[in-house]
Amino acid sequence: MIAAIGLVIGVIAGVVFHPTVPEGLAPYLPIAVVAALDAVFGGVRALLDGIFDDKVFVVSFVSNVLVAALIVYLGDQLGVGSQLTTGVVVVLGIRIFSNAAAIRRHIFHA
Amino acid sequence: MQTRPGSADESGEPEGDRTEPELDETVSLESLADEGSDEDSAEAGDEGDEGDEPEAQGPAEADDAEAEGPGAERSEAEHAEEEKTGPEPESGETVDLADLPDTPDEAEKPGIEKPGAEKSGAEKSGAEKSGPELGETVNLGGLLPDDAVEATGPDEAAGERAEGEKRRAPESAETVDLAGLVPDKAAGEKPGARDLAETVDLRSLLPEDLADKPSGADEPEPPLRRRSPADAGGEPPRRRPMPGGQPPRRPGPGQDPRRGPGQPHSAHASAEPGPRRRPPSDHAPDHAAKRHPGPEARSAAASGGAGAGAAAAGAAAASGPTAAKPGAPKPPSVSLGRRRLIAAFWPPRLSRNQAVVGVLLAALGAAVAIQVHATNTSDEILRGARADDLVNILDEVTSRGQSLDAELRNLETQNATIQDSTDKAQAALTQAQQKAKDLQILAGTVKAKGSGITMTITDPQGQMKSATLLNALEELRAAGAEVIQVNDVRVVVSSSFVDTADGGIALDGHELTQPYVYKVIGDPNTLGPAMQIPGGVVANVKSTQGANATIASGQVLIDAVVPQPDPQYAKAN
Repeated sequence: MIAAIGLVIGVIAGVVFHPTVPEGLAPYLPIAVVAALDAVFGGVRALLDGIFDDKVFVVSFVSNVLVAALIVYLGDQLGVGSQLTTGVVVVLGIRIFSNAAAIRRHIFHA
Repeated sequence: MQTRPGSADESGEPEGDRTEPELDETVSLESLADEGSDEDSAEAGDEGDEGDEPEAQGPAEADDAEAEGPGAERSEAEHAEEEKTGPEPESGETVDLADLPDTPDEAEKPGIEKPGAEKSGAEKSGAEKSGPELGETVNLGGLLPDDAVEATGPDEAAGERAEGEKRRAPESAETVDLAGLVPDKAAGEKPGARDLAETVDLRSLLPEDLADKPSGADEPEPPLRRRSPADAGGEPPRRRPMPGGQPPRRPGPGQDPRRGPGQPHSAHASAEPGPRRRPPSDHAPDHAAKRHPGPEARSAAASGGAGAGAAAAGAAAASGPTAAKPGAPKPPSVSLGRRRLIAAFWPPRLSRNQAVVGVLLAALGAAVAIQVHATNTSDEILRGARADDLVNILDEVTSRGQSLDAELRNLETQNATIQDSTDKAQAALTQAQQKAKDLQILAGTVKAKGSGITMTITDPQGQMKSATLLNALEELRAAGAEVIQVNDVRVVVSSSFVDTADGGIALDGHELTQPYVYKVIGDPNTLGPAMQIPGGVVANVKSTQGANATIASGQVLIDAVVPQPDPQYAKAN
C-alpha cells in the first residue's frame, strides 16, 4: 500500500515539477526506467509467491538500474550504444513479460 | 561432516541398496520404525528429484508392515523387491531410493540395537535420515513428545551419529523431514498421533523461521545445502538445484515408478505424504502450501533478480510434492497469491521496509513521468539524445532544409515568371485597348472631344463647289487635323464630296445645308494660321463670290459617328 502510494506520489511529482535531468544522465533515464520496471514486476511476483523480501527488492532495483545504465554507457563509449540499448530493452522486456505471466497466473489462475 | 557422509552415501548407495534389503529382512518388526525414516527419506527424495517416489513406496510398504505386525517380514521382502525395481526405472536417481531403504534398516537397528547403528554409520548419509528415524522411533515407543521436540532425538543420535548430524537436525531441513514423517506415523499409530501432531506443529514453525532467515539471505543456494544434507544426505543438494530449474521432469518419471511397484495407492499416500497426510495438523498443510510456491518462486527470483531469491531452501522439501502433483499444488498457490496481493494493499502497514520500497517506487514514478514529458517535448528529446542520434537528427534536418530551400527557389522563379507574363499581358492589353481607342477615333466610330477650331463657311449665293470644300478638308488634314466633322457628317478616310444635280453638295450621300461648319480637333495654333495663310483656305473661299469663312478656336465636341465596319473576309494578323 505504501509502495503504491509512493508510486502515485512519484508520478504526480514528476508531472507537476518535471525537473530537468542532468545532461549526462538524460540518455540513461529511459533504460533505467525499464530496468526498474523489471525489478518492480519481479517484486510483485515475489510478493505473490510469498517470498518477497524488501531488502532483496531494494538491492535488485538499484542494481538493475545501475547495471542497465552501465551497459548503455559502455555501449556509448564503444560506439554501439543504440544497439546495446535495444538489446537491454529486449532482455528486460522478455523478463517483464515472463514475470507478468507469473503474476497473471497467480491472480487469474490462468 | 554432513556433506561428506552424504556424498559417500551417494557413491555407495547402489551397494548399500543391495545390502540393505538383506538387513531389512532380518529386522522385520523394527521395520515399522523404519517407516518413519522412510518417510523422511521420501520427503528428502521429493526435494531431490525422482528418487522421492520410490522412497515413498518403501514407506508405504513399511506402513503396511506396521499395520500387520506379522506381515512385516513380507513388507520387508517387498521392500527389497521394490528397492530393486525402483532403481531400474529411475536409473541414475534411483540411488536415493537405495539409500532410503538402507537408512530405515539401519535406523531400526540403532534405535533398538546400537550395534546396527554402527553398521549404518559407515554408509550414512543415511545417518541423517536415520537420525530423524531414530527420533521418530523413540516417539512411537512412548517418548514421543520429548523426541519430537528435540526433533532428531539428539541423545540417541549423538551416540550413534556424527555431531554434525545433530546440528543439522535443529536446522530446518531435518525438522521438515520429521514433520513429514510424523504424520505418517500418526496415521499408523493412534496413541502417538496427537503428540506427533504437536511435534509437527513445532517443527512446522521452526522451518518457517528458518525459511525466513534464508529468505533474507541473498541466494537460495546456502539454505539448500543446509537442508539438503540433513534431509537426504549428500546427493539431494546437488540435485535440488535441478528440480528448481526443471520441475516438470519430476512428475513423469516419478509417477511411473510408483505405479510400477504394485501398491499404487499406498505408495501415493506415502509419496505425497507431506500435503495429504499432514492435514490432521493445520500447520503442516500451510507449510506445504507455502513451500510449494517456493521452488518456482526461487527459479523466478534467480532469473528475475527481483528479490525472489528469498527462501530457496525451504522449498526443497515442498518441491518434491509439487513435482509429484503438478496439478494439485498450483491452485492453492494461486489463491494464496491473490490473498497476498490483497494483504499487501490492505490494511496499509507503515514500516521502514514499506517506506523504502515506497521511496523507490516514487523515484520510478517520477522518472517515468519525467521521461514521458521529455519524450513529448522535442526540445527535451534532443537534450537526452546520444551523440550519434544527434548527428542523425542533424543530418535529417539539414537535408530537409536544403530540399525546402530548393523548393522555395523553384517556386519563387515560377512566381516571377507568372507575374512577369501577367504584367506583359496586362501591358499588351492596355496597349491594345489604347490602340483600339485611337483607331476607333480615327475610324470615326466613337465620339471625340478636344481642343481645336471651328471653321464656318457661308455661301449665300450658292456658288460653292464641292472642290472648294474638298480643298479645305485636305488643307485641314495637312495641317494635322485628327478628327473632322462637317455639319452632322463625320469625315473619315472614305469620305467624298459630290456636287448634286440641284447645285448643292453632298458628303457621303448626305446633302449639306448652309452654312458649312467644319469642327476640327487638332492643334488650334497650327490649324488657324494654316487656314488663314495667303492663298490658303480662307482666301480660296473668299475667291468665290459672296462666300466667307470664319475661324474660332476652342474646345470642340465631335458627336457624329459612322457605323462600325464589320470586315467579312479580313482577319487580324
